Amino acid sequence: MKWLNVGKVFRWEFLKNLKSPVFLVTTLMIPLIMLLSVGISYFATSSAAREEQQVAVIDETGDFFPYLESYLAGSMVKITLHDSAEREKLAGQVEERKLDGYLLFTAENVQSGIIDYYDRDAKGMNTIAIEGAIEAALTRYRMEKMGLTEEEISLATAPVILRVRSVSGEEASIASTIAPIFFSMILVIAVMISGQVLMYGVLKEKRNRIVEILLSSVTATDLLLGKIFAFGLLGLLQIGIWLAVGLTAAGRFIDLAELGMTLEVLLPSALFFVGGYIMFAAIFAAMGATMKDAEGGSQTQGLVVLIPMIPMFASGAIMMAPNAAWVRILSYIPIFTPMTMLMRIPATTLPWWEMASAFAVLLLGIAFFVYLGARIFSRGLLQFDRTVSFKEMGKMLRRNY
Amino acid sequence: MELILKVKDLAKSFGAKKAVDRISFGVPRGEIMGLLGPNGAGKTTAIRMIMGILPPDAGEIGFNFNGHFQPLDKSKIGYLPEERGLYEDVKVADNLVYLAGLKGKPAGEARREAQQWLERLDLVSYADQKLEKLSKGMQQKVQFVASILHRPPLVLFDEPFSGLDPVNQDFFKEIIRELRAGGTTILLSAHQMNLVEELCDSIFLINHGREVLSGKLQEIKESYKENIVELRYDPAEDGSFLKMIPGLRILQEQPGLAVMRYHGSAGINALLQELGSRLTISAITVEKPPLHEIFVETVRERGEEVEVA
Repeated sequence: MKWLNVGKVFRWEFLKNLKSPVFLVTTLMIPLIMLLSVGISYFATSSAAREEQQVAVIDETGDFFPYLESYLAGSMVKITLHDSAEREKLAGQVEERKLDGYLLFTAENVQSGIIDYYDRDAKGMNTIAIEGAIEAALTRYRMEKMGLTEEEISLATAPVILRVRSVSGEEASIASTIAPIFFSMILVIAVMISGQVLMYGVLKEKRNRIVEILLSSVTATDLLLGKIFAFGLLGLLQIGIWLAVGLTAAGRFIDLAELGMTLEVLLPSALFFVGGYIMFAAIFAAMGATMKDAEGGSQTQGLVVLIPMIPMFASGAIMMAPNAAWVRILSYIPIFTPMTMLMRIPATTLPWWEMASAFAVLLLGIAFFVYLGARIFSRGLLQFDRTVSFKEMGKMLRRNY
Repeated sequence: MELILKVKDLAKSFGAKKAVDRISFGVPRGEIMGLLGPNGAGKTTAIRMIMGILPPDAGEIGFNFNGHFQPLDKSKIGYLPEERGLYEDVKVADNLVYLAGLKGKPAGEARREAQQWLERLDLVSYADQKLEKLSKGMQQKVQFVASILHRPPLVLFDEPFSGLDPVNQDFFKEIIRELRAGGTTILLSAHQMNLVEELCDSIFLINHGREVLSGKLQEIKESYKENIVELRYDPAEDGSFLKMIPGLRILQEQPGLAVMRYHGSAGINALLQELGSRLTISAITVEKPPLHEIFVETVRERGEEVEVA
């Protein structure tokens, strides 16, 4: 191996792929899609909250309406009081969209707490604001009927707040949990994208028949390492751009200090990302070298590259229970280590020795897969006319093929 | 004669198939040597081992670039593989500069010399175009330049003429001769022997991975005892006696013309005397059969089959 040659391949691959349409499109499109989806849901919820709802109330109890009115004061739900005899007419107005719906309070309803709300479309209703107000109004109404004093009522209705803290006393907020998870997902996506680009790049060089010319100047290992480093830097660059865009955009809505992007999360995440990247890149490149074309026989190879993704399918479970025994075991299986750790680090506070031992396992995995990858890479590259089967890959690894 | 490349007992098997079976040869400095044989004979495997792309099972390969034999230094060798191509989505000049750079040539120098080559090939207007804009014939020229731009003392061409149109064939031959004149040593492989025998100073014929014949082309031809005789004589005369001459086989016959193969023990001089005494000859040529026939005959005499891939 000659580092000078690795450097030449690295420089070439980096500059060539930096200018490639795939890199430009994924780098620009992904943050655009993220911004669009965040933007759409933001404007959808805020415009829905700004829309007034006209609701009629038939109050057969005779005295409940003022309670409800006071709890809905200042909200987007506007209520009007009506007589029982107007029920038919109100139903007609709901049909004609003059009203959004009407509520019926009878003595029986108020006692049982089961309130009927009539709407045009029973499925698509946003009743959260109404339901909250009814619950609070009804509680107060009942308490006053029981003869409780104002003081007693405010004591009984004091709200409950569940404050989650770690034993060391840190306070956790929703923002500081969700943001790093989002961050690790972005890392995972970047690994997969640049890995796939690398794989198809190798395949293309094989199909172009340039690969044998390259191998007449550099060894397969030089070529493999140059490519891996180039795509690693591209992946990091891509993430840098995404984070810069994402954080700038997020900064408009929330305080970035609350996101929990601390050095204790970022530094180990970056280490596991780079390590995981190198390991996956070796596997991706080796698979690309065994393929004949992007279709047909290559589908099995496509499946192989999904194996490291398996922890992602369990991402919900891992983040909910980042210290469960099975998650810990997953962290020590090299091929799953990077993805699992990327999800665990932001989800929990890991002791240093657990991070260090998982990283040691990852380093072993890197050595193993880069060695294996280089062997398959160098031997698969010259098999121009067919896809290399797994059986042959086994042979390549064993013998001086 | 000083050798620039020495191969000793080189062997390589793929499974049960012996692709290259203990071959040994040397390539004299400044000459063109042909590694010839039918498709599947083991030429490409041998060349890939010399180029360090395939590891040999056994044998030694040594290079003498500066007075003593040493192991492979890829930067000193030019290589044009049989399966060849370049980056299609990259500019022609950039392709050349990158590949020369991998061989250790500084970028500025490579760009200047690439420009000179492209001028000579009438491709200079394509220098900043992507390779895919070029026709297949033009791409072949660029590939050829890519293999020699770094001015290596030794060049390996694997089937350099396969897939070329006749114009490019002549052009490549011209450049190969030029390279030799400039002191470059060339090892080329080919299965169309007739196409390259005029180029080669020495040859190594291979079949089923084993040596069939090797040496100076001239010596091989001279030591081959058969001759092809083309005889033109007065059509009014009777040439039927030709059939009776021992060692003479008639390939083609019509009044006044006979093409014959002769390997009689009496020798070619005796044959010419006899023909002259019995016929009024208007023209006669005697030449050695083409290399391909020598190859096929030699293989057949050994009781082997010529491999057809």
